[in-house]
Amino acid sequence: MSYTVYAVEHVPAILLSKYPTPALYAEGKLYLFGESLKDVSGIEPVEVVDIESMTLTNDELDAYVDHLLTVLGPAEVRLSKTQGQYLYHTRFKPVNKETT
Amino acid sequence: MNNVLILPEDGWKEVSTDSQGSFTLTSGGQHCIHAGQPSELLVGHRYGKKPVQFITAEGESVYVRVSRPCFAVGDVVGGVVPLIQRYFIDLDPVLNSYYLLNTHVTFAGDFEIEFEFTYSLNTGAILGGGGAGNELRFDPNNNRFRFIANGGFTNLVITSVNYNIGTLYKCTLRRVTGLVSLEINGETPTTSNAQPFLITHVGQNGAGSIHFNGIIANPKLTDLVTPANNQTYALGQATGNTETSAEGGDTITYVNVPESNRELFEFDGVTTWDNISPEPQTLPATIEAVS
Repeated sequence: MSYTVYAVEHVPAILLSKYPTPALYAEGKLYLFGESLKDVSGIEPVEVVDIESMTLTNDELDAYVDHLLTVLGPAEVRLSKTQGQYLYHTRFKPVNKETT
Repeated sequence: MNNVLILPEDGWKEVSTDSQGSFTLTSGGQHCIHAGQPSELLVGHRYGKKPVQFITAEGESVYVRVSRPCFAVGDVVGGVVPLIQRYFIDLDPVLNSYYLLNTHVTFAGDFEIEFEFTYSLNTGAILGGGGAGNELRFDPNNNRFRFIANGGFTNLVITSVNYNIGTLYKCTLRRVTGLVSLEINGETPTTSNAQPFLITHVGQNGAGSIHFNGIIANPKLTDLVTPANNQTYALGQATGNTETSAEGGDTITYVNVPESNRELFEFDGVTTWDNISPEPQTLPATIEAVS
């Protein structure tokens, strides 16, 4: 189980079709999903940045995320639940809070 | 075959490899009965210490284990009974996941709210509506449970009990003649006054700023002044994002809930709200704790 991140301008339409209101992060630059493109469509993404499989300290994770934010591309970025929750609690909150 | 057994704390226990027969569960806590090999079809489960009887098929092994939340269960007496399917859903604040009530509920006067919950992060709103401050949620720092009304902490109910991640609780929030009481698993920690309470969301506060991380089930909203407003929302029938689901005539929408956050339970039997009497118990590690 992991999180999937896409830059807003590169998000696959099929992901948005299933999840039209995904959490929006990094000042509106990133969408976060609970399923990958392959989970939803069976299609492998063209490019993957698999942070989940990396063994990173929190500092290294922060630095890696800082780097990724400067080079946003079409890649699907995968985070573990633990990594995603760490970033959620330390520096990122969704910017698109729904209200009634 | 008619075995009386004590359930294990966790893991599987084979209780029968005999031909068709029955056995009775007498242990307290939460039970799940699986026919055949472990992890196969769940055929029945129930809470409490009341005996329950299951009929095994000829040549079929029966296994028992303590399971993750099984909130609505009923008497299972064997034989052919309707199959009930129910999803239990982890609501994840990282994903902005929550339920949306299509029909908003406003309690202008006295009310009673019941629900069951377990959580994997020590924060999050369980019910909410209106603006910020009109919500029922956990305090993220002090493991407290509180009811906040009309934008401040003047009118609140706050518990003095420590709540544990992964533990199943049943909560009842009542307002009677303007006095609010919060009861969790039979305890009533404290009382206070409160203002009219609007409920629009389950799993986030009304302002959308705080999301619950855990499992919420069986919210029952009772208007003690206008019974016609009474509603029981059976959450957990989700099959996709923002897809409307309905049970018992009440409609909800769930938002940003991926497949991995859902687990389907199937069991034979009759679902009755009166059967729900969970005791405090530690669930197995099916809900992730944050390190």
